[in-house]
Amino acid sequence: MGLSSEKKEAALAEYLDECQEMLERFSRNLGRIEKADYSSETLAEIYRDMHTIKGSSQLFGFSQIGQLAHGMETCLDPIRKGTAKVSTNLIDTLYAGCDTIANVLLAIREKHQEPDVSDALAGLLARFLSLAEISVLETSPLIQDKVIPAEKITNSELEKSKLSISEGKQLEKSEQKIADVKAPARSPAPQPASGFFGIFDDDEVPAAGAKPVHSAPKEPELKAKTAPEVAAKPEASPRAEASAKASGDEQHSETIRVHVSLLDNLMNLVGELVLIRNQIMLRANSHDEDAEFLKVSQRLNVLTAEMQNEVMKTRMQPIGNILNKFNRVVRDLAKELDKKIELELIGAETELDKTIIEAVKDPLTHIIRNAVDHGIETMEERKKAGKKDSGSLRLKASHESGQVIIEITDDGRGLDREKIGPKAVEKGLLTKETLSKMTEKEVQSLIFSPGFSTASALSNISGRGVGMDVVKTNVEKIGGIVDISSVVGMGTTIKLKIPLTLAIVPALIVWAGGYRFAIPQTKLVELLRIDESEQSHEKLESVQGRPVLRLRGKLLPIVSLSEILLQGNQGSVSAVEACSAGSESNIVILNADGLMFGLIVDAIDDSADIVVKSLSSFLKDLSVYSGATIMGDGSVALTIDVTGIAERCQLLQESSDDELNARDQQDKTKDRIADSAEYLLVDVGATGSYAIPLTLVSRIEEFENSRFEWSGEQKVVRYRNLLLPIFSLPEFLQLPHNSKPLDDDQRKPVVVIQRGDRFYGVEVRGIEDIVEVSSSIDHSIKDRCGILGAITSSERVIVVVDMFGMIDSLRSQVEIEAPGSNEKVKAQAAFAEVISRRRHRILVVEDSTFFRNYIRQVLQEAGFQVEVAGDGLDGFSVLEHASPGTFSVVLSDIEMPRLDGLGLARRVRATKAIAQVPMVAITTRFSVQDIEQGKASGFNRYLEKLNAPELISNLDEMLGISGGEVGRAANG
Amino acid sequence: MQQMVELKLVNGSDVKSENQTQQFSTFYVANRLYGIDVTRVQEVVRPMPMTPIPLAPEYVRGLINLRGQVATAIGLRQLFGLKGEAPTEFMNVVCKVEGILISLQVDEIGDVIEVSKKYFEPSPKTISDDIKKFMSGIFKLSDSLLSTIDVDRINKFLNHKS
Repeated sequence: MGLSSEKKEAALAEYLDECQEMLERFSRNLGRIEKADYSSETLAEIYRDMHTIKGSSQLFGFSQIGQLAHGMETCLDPIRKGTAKVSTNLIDTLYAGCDTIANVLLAIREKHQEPDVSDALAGLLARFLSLAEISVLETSPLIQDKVIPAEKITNSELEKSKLSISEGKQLEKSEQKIADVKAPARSPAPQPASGFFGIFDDDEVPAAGAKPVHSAPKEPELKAKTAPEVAAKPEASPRAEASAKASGDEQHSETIRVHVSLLDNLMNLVGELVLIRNQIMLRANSHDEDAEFLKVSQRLNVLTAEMQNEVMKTRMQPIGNILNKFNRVVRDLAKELDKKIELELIGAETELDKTIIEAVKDPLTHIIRNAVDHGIETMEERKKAGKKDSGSLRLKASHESGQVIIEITDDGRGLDREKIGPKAVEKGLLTKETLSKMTEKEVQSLIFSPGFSTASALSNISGRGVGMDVVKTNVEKIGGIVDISSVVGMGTTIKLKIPLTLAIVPALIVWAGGYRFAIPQTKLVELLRIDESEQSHEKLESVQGRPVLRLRGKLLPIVSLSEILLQGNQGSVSAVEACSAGSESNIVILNADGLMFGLIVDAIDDSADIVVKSLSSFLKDLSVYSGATIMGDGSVALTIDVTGIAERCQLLQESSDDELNARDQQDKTKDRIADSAEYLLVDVGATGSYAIPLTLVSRIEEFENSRFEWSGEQKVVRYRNLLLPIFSLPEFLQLPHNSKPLDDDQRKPVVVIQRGDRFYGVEVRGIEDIVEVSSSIDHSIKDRCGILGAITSSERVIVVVDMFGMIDSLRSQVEIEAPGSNEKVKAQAAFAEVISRRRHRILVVEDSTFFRNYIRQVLQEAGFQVEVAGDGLDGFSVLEHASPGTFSVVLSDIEMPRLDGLGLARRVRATKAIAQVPMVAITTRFSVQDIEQGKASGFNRYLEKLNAPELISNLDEMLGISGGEVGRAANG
Repeated sequence: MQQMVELKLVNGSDVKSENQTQQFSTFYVANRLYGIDVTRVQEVVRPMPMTPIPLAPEYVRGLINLRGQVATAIGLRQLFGLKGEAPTEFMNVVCKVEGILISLQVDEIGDVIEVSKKYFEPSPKTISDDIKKFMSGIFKLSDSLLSTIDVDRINKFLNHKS
């Protein structure tokens, strides 16, 4: 027996791989057929795959797979021919058969022996029999196979089995024929455990197939023999012939199987080639008199680069390869649990390294099983909760700076603190006290604890003794992160962040401190070149010694890459220097999790597709790098982790998204509705800091003095095809200020404020900064009209300007239809209204601190009792815990973190005790679709956020408050 | 280097009697002789272009492209806390530890020598701890001492210290 055990292994591995591939295709096609795709190619392919599985399994002596495949094939035959119809029952049975084969294959892979699944087999075969209405006669040859003793196999048959093994791969067609022909003659069953064909048995077993397998590769005349041999076989069924032909056409396929280690070697060799190329290029350039050599070397250059590129790609596989399998998983589970689930796959083309794909397969399957089993409710439950009866499950894969993000989102019942918490306590994972101190997220993360399972009864679907902790450990094993976020009643999102050892990422190559760095394109917003000599609009300025960039009215913090990395050594250009030097600087505008900032680099090189290699584990702490990459010339460049840079420069604070230059740090984490808001600090010419809430600012513009014009007594500027009325903030506030404009002031900054569909310009003496302040506005300090109140930060007192108040009082000057004459009537009605409004308590749900306070103020001034909540979840809990009827109306913003307005409405409507409370959406989104969506979710009305009079009149109308009529009339 | 070749021969005869020998890839750092178990050394390479890693600890010298794979260069001089004039170029002793390529930067490369285990002694207590923590012991050669470096200890240190 000349075949080494390695070769036996290889032959088996190939067989297993091939079967697996075919099973996958089979499943996929079955899915297609289920969706009523009865095209002849699909039907032919599905038949062909099963046929090939049958053939090769019997060849290897795996009789049970062979029998099963035969049964499935027989069922499929009439369908392929169009003489029978596809039934659900058939598809289910085929799926079941498919699974059994897969399980057997798995066992073979592990134990190198076909396990005994005769019970399952008998059941399945019976199902197939009944399905295909195959006569006993038809199946009998297969059964007879078993009783032919091995010794009876003739030499010529042995010859054929060698052929089929050795030629199998290249000559699929012949193999199939042979397999088919050979099937009846092969006798796996009588000599079962002794080693099918002796492939895995080192003892010399005189089994039929052993010799041929071993000697096959040495036979020189094999190829020549194949065709005549096969043709001479009269038993070859016409059916098999046909299918073989079809597969023969197909099998000139585009793919071959190559071992991963081979690709690794190739990759390393190319790396060496690149280095040689570089040496040659150097030589060629220094000996440029030899034109011929130069030309040759340039071709070498191009070829090497191309080759490197292609080799890099070989290891990458689209994640769709495994995602598609989940169609089947979800289908089966949903069916079993009697749920309707729509699976949506996004980003199936995202490529990642094969080894990583394999590694995430199991965790993903587990997450999906969990989502289907525990997450998504049954149809009845969903109906009760006011959801669509079919649940949705979304799998989304994407690349993000050298990582692959896989998000699994369901719209099921979500993770309930009230269920998880006690369970964890019961399991002894933690104490009640610890639990009470935990945040929502921490409680949700408990499901990743070992030995935790929420389903009260263990189901055979996801409760198999392994929990989400396995998912977590497996993902972490490959250096990934699992993140979970869930809202009760709304669903759960599990996010896997998987790093890539090998991923081709488009990147921008920049220079800093004499070295190259790669910045992932995904984080890149734009590139800027600032040249002082030109009158460019963007320029670097300094605020409190910190450089900022004014880019289209937004202030972006600026940091210098070489300064960060070299910390002032080796001639790094500091950001401050760059801003004062008056020289040109290259700025890369980056987006780190929502925060925009500018990064000064020494030079911008080029963009390139790079392969990110992770850094050694002991360098993981250097969060400013995400990895390293080998450049085309063989040198190594570090890849920049944009978020890491932002963190290092302390640009990011906590986890909030768009904070800018916030210096007033306070502990915001403790208070969930962090009362922090951003303010634009403006110079009004008086002492003290004056600020405008940033949420109100639509743009910041600078107009040259010559652009200001006058319309009557109103200062205006032509702006975007309309006239922008300009109000002067210093004048309005009538502060004892130095009204003389700054000497060299050719241009004046104007804060543009949008109110409704109108724009107003507010002229200030200067824009100072944007700050984030977490303290709330103290309304008690209002010495004059136009001031909303004051806020105290750690450093100073900031006076907040009441922009709307100012606009309201000044608007009458601009608008002819200003309702001055109704003033008296209104005043009379107002008193009555205030009295009647007292009876009503309104809940305002709004995430923006400014708006929350603004609306509260508007309502309180009108006489309503007001309570506020910072987001949907918060609002819901306030509602839930209040006694019924506490709130007359709920006003809610639409876009909010954690639980948005639509979600809040749905939940309120689904909760019996509070389902009747009128809900009004206050928003800036007004498309027909938005309104429809809002109404569908349960909102009674849709109102504009900033329109206070309309809000009041609407509330009055809803609550039936007398005098509302007058009020509305007065407000026009 | 001459002496090393002789040593090898001498020790070669020991193989028969003792049959307990170990091969070391030797090198010099600041004129002292060190050795790493030859089975742990993947290769020895000439000075190579290196990309420094700003902000990394001082002993992490940079990244090297080793035929398409990125190796992290660790300066033994810096790791051992040796001051004094360093050569401008370093040789690289490349080891693979837990799948990671680490290139140890040394001043000069010596021979591969085979020594009998009977000449082994644990590191003397008096050696500076900065170096001792990476050493597995000392071999008494005929005219010098060979300090053997344990790559795993270096790896352990790197993973805990940085």
